[in-house]
Amino acid sequence: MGSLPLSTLDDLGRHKLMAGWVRSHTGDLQRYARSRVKDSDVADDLVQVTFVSAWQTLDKFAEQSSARTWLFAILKHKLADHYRKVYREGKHVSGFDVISDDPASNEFNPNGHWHRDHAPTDLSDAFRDEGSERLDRALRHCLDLLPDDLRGAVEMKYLLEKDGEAIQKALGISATNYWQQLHRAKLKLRGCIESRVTRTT
Amino acid sequence: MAQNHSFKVSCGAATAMMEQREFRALSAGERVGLWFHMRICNACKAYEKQSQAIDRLLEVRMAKGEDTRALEARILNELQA
Repeated sequence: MGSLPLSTLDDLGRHKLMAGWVRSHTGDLQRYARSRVKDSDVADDLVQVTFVSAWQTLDKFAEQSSARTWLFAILKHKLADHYRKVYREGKHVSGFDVISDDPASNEFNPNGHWHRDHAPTDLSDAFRDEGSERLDRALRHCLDLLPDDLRGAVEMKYLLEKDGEAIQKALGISATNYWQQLHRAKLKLRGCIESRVTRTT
Repeated sequence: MAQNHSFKVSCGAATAMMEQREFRALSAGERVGLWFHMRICNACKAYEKQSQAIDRLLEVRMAKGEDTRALEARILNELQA
């Protein structure tokens, strides 16, 4: 039996412990959530339910793992739940819809080769300064323009650590379908980032 | 679009395979097709580099710092309830 000081805490002690966690980890959890969902209110709600859920299951928290690790694991679950729900509800609104041209529809010619206006070239240096603030901002902007299902496909890849089977199960789609979405998302992201970075040069 | 030789790969297929190989092993035929395609197609070569750059950005992505005091207060309030 490992000693669990947690179980020796009274209610006040538990509240104090939890309050300490809220103060030390909210910032990182919020940054993480906000960089993964478009709507910052939704992100904040997810952080809140993470703490509520941590509070309710405090007894299950094994002291050997750090609070931070544990809270992040819960938040990742909440994010995955969020994207699962987005898939089930099936309304995939996209910033690309309001912007005139949809890159995915005309990236390739009918013969499967690059449309000349969309062919990537080495001359474009949009992706060259990988650490740059401008590129990072373009990425975030373009992620937010993705329709929810494509955004979910991308986020799930990193939330579930590239475990293809787990992702497909969570989203309720076939492997082929998932790969197609990742492909479409990447094409859109690439085109969007390139045009954004080169436009603001 | 009549010609569909076994190793002939379009840019659409090549870029799709780049995404899939993270999740499944490509077949021998696909690997040869992709390899050959990459030798002759500059656009896909450029795409591959850019696509990998995007993947790296996605891995390290973190939003900039925000003021979290309001959210902290909200959560503490919720937990008291």
